[in-house]
Amino acid sequence: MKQGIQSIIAAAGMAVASFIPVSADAAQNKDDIGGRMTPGEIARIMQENGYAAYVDEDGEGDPMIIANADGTKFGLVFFDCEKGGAMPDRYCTDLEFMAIYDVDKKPALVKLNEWNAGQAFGKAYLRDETSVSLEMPINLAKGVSESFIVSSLEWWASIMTSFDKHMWPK
Amino acid sequence: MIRKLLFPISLLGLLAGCMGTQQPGGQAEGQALNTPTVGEVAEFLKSSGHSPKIQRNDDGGPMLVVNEEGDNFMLAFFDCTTSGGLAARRCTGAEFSVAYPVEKKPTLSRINEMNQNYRMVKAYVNSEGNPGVSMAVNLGGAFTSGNLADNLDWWVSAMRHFEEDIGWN
Repeated sequence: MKQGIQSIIAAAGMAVASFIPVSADAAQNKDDIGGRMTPGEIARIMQENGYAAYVDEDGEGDPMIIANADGTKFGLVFFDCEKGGAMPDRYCTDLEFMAIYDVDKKPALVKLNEWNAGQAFGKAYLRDETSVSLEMPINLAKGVSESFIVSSLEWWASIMTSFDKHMWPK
Repeated sequence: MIRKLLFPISLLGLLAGCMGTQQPGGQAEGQALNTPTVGEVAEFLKSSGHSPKIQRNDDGGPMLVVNEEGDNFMLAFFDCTTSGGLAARRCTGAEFSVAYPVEKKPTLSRINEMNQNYRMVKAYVNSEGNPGVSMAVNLGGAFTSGNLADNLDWWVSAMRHFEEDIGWN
């Protein structure tokens, strides 16, 4: 079993190497609420919290973040985005954390249902015969802060670990 | 964005219409909240026209039972402070949820299909065998009541959409 953000990239016909640097503008106060939490700002927050993260472009011309936490790769895909300007600066109303697990053996739907019924955060589903998705949406509309993003990151890190233990106990 | 690519265009349009998708704006709206108390979340729901009741869950933590046009849904809280009354607890996460005792239960294959298509919510079959839908929201850190209102709109739209999907009413 492997995590596969590469699967997202390959399926969407994107180039892995197209690195787009993130703005170094630091937030004044982590609780300051702005109306425009951009992909570039989120990538900066992730980097400052120990994640490898950079903004890329998805197959539809919208921003996405490719990230890595302790060797586990995942992506942040954005929805309802502005269409002009540099990728890191395009405001989007919401995002979804996404990890795709390539599996040798198709997991039972009852196992995925146990997760979905028992856990608040993180939606799991079978994508096809050989891969499983874990997703967590976050609404960015109408004002969020850096501390809000950090808390969301903590939830995501927590459920990635829990999901792995639930699906593939050692 | 793989899920976008998997969606037929017609389905994307349908989901956008049902789920209250909005266009980017980028303006902060409403009052500032910072890991709000359960009481503050309840007050917000009251100001949005709902009638939330604070209750104690099986683990002793706080939860809200909320009426939405005759139907009740739950708002469970997670990762909460443990001192003080239930209304004073601060929690970094919450989950809207509701389950429906339908006669014709959806298969897990159908539930999986729903989860492939849903954007902000997830579907499941609960321990009683009934279909349920839930939406988790981060409450940790600073954000606006406008953001919370937007989440509430998402939830109510998604709940109604789920009811159609399972043939409720």
